[in-house]
Amino acid sequence: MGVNAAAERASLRVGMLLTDATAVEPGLRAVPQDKQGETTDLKRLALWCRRYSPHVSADGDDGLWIDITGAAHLFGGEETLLRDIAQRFHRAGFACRAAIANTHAAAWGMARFASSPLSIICGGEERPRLSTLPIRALNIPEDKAVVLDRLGLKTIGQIFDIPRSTLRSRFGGTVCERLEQALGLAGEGLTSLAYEPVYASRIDFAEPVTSLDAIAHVTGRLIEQVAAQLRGDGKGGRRFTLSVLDTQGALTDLNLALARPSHAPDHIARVFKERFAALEGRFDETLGFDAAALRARRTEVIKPEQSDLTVGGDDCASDKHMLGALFDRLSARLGEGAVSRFASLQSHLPERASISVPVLHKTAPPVRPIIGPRPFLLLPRAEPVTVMAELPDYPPRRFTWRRVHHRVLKAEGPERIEGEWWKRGGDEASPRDYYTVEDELGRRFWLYREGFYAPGNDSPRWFMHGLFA
Amino acid sequence: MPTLNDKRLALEKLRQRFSTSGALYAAHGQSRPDKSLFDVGLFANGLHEVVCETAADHAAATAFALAATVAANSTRKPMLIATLAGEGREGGVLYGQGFDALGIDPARVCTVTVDREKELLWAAEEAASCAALGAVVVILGHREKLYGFTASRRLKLRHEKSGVPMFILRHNSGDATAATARWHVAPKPSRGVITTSSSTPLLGAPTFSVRREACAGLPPQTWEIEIDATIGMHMVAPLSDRPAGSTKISYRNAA
Repeated sequence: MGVNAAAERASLRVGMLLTDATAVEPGLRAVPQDKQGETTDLKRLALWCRRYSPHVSADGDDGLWIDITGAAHLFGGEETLLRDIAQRFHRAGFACRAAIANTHAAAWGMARFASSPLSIICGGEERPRLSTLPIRALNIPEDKAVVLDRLGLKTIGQIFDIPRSTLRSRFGGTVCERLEQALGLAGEGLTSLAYEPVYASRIDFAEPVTSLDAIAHVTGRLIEQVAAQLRGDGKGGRRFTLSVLDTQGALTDLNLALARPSHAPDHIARVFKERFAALEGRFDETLGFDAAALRARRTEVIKPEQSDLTVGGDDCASDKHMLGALFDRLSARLGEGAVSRFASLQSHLPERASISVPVLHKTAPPVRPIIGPRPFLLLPRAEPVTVMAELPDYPPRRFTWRRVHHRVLKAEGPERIEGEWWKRGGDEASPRDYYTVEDELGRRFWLYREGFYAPGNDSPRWFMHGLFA
Repeated sequence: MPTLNDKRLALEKLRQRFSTSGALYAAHGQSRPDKSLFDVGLFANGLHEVVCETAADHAAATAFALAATVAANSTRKPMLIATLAGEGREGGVLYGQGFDALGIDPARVCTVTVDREKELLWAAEEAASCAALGAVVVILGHREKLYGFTASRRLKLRHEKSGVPMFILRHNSGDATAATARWHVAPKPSRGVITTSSSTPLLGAPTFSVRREACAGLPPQTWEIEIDATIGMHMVAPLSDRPAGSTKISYRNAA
């Protein structure tokens, strides 16, 4: 949860009930919290902070810590470093507060509760600087903070002089421990973000290379190197990027996705070959290229598989491999979206209920079986038909579609499908009554009538939506 | 106390009973087509061409080609359908929820949609050499340019290596190709169901008129074939020249 600067000016605070907040500021706009998005963004910010030090991590929901031990002088001292961090965050559109201290706990408190947004505590200054901060600046559990608050212990300074043993017996170990950590009397374990291994290889050419064939050849060598790295770690790549640098300094990326993680150089090379074949004629090779690099962007652990020794035994595993290899080749040449399977969405509207999902995407909700007839060919958009219906709520007797007249001999229906009235703007969508009809030649159609026969509406519109066997 | 073996026998008996009497629901791939259809040569492993004579028969011919794979693909391996994107705008795009009615499990279908015939044939060749597929259906466009003897020969060679049944849907059938058999498919009015509750008869199982042509050594012949999602493809006995909708069901009597 958070409030922006305007809300803060209107004296709204984090933790208020929405009803209270709206009472204070009727113009309030509330947006649901995207917890997962915040977490990922914070992690990405933490990774960006590696420019200051190799040891960084996200801290709680809204903080980052950077261990700048021995790194500050590279940025012109602590003060310049702090200002640089603040400036860059502001430029990126983030409001931020920052503090430098000898201990992590002290920096945590200063960054969040100090009067100025940027503060530095030099060694030995912890006691006087921390003493004015509220008790919550120690990052202690909320219930402990409430108890201390009620006893009138509002600032950290007030608990400095309480003997540690009393503090411990009255308020538990946490308060005492946090205080000692802030003053540097106790250690604090911190875990920085782990580096993920990079599987990449690069070749620089002595002379600019001007043909796609040569690039393809070099790619083969790069693949062998990257595949060897992957195999060493028992991993396989699912997403690869080949970057080629042309003589003008422009970088072209070629992305590749595999259905199953692989570290087999032959297979990856074959898929890349299809990718190159798809590029034929669409690739400007006149400028020449200076370098090529291959990187496995996403990797997964490959479980070693027992090879099947029996002849004609269970070949399920090899089937899976063959299918995976086929999908890889097809997707590489035709594009990921071209090779797909059926999946379903939670919707009653036929055009939304069943969708196509690329086979290379891992998760897809399977197609739900449905009661009621569904065509196996659906028109991308329902086409208007002129219809003669015998009676209201009966299937049509004759209809004209694409300027061809059809006489209906057999019919089933209706199946009523309501519009999604609960959605915004969905109330305009009127219900549809679907009929399955067969004409005199045995062709089968799926038509629907939009809306009801009503006193004001004696000629509702009809649409053709699908074709049956 | 029944032993495990007894239970198995009982289960097998039940299965047989349901498969012959046409249960309301059968698992995908459990359906068994009419035995006489095997003699016709429709499920012989090979490269089959399904020809629809007019554009209006496209849906029927496609359905027939898809349903024919069910019997040809006895191992329940996944099937691949290759189509042209441009044709879908006119003739409709494949719709997952409708596949149950053809006796195909939509979860085992993979579709390849491409823009040009060249890519379509390339994808078909790649698929034809993948033995992990249970069947391949290639839906050619209305204006086929590249498919001919050479293309079909290439497909057939790959098919012979992998053994994957192939069905190719075409709109014209002028020149000779290397296909094992060619089937002309057109829709036929189904045997409707007359009820006392509605004035128009209800739809029967989808029916096709199928003409065999150019099938190794066999003379041309025409049949009527029905598709039923539960019991599979079967022949319609042409006993007499009956008007459509002659099976009469009275719900009052049935209850």
